[in-house]
Amino acid sequence: MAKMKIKAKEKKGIVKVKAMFTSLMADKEEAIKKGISPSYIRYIVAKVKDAVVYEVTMSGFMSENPLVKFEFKGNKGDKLTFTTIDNDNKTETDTQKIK
Amino acid sequence: MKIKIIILLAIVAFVISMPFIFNKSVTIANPSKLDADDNFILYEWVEPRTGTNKEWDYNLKPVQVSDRVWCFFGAMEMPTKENAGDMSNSCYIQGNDSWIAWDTGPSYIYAKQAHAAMRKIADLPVKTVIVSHEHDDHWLGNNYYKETQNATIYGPKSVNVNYLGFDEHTGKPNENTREIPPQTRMIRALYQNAIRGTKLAAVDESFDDTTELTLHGVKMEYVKVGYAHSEEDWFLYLPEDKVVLVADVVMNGRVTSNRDGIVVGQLNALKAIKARDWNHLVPGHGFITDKSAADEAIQYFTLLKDRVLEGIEDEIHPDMITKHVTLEEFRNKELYYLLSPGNVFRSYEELEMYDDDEEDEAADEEDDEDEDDE
Repeated sequence: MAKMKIKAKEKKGIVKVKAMFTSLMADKEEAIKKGISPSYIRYIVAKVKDAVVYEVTMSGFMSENPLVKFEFKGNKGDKLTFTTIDNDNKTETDTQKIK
Repeated sequence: MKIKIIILLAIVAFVISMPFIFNKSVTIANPSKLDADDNFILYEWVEPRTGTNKEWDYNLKPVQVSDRVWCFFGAMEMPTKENAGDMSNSCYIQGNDSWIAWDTGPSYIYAKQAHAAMRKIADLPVKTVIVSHEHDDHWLGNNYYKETQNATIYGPKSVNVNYLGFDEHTGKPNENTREIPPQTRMIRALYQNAIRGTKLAAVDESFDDTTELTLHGVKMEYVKVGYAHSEEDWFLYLPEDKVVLVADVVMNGRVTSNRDGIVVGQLNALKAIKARDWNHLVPGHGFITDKSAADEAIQYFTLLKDRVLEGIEDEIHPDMITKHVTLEEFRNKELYYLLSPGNVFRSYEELEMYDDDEEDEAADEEDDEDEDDE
C-alpha cells in the first residue's frame, strides 16, 4: 500500500505540486530477484474539485518511492486529492490543502 | 617571428608532454580498489589479516577532560592506512571498580593500547563498554574487551541488526544471522598489524529509549537521539561530572559526514544535547571540548537546512544545489572539499518534501502527549 506525502503551493495563480509515494516499485522481474512479492503503483490521479489535474499510468520502471512534480492553474485553499492504485488494485487516497 | 613561433610551439609541446616525461607514479593494477583519495575501497571479501609483524603503535595519549573522564582524540582525517583508523574520539570514565569505555575505536589493537594507557592512570579492568552508534571507527575495539575481560557491551540495536544480521524486532539472532560477519571498511583496509585480531562483537544489551543508569558508581544518562548522524545515535550524559560524550552528533574543526544521517535529526539531537547542563562536551571528531564545542555543528546544520530549503524554494535543480549552497563559513575546516558537497546534495534529497508546518504539528502533538502524561 502506498503512503504519500503531498506539498502544494500557489504563487501568482500557479499551483506547484510535489508528491512522494512510498512504494518499492518492484515489478515481477525485480520481485523475483529480491525474493519478494511484486509491489508497485500502477496509476496515480490528482484532482481538484473533481477536475483531473494530473494523471499517470506507470509500472515498476519508476524508482522506489517515486516523486512527481507538476503545476497547474489553481487557487490557494482548494483541496488537492491524490489517488493511487497499486498492482493488487488496492486504492489509497490523501488530500492536501493548497497553501 | 618564425623563431618566436617555433619557440612557442616547442614550449607548448613540452608542456603537453610533461605528464609523460615526469610521471613516476606507481601503476595501479586495479584502480577500482582505490577511492578518490587513493585510500582503500574494497567491496569484496579480503583474506583475514593474521600477519605477525610488530603491532601498529597508535601512540595513544589520554587527555583528562574532567576528574573522572579521559579521552583519546583521533586525527581529523578520513580513515587511512597511515592513521590506522585512529581518527575518532573515544573516552574512559573512571568507576569505583572498573573503567567504563565510551566507544572503543577502530580495532582490537587500538582498544588494547588504549586500555594499557589507561591502566597507567588507574589499574582497573574494563567491565563495561558503551557504544554511541554503528560506524566502525567507534566500536571495532569491542571484541578486545569482550575476549579479555568479558565486558558487558551496551549499544544501539542497529549494530547487531545491520552488521550481524540480528532480528530487527527482537534484537536477537535469527535464521538470517550471518555465520561469518561482513567486513567493514576498517577490516578491509588497515594494515594487518593494525587490524589483526579485530572481530565484530555483538552488543549485549540495547535499550528502546533514554535510560538512566548507575554503573560502577557512576551516574549516567544514556540518551537516545534516534536517526541523526546514523540510523540510531545515542549520547552519554554524566550529570555529576557535567560532561556529555556525544560522539558523531557533534564534530568540530572539520566538516561532518552526513552520508548516513539526516539534517532534521541532527538538529533535534543538538537540541537534546544543549538541554543538558554540562561544562565539557567531547565530540566524536574534533578537539574542542569547552562550552562552545557544539556551536560549529549547530551553525553548520542550521545553515545547511536553511540554505538548502531556500534553494528548493528558488527551484534550484538538484544537480546544481552544490554550486548554490557552498557553506563558505566552513571552507577553512578540515574535509570541507571532500564532505560538504555530499552533505548538501543529500540534504536536498531529504528536505525536498520537508514541511515546516508538519514538524510544528508533530512538536505540538508531542507537547500535548507530555502534558497528558503529567
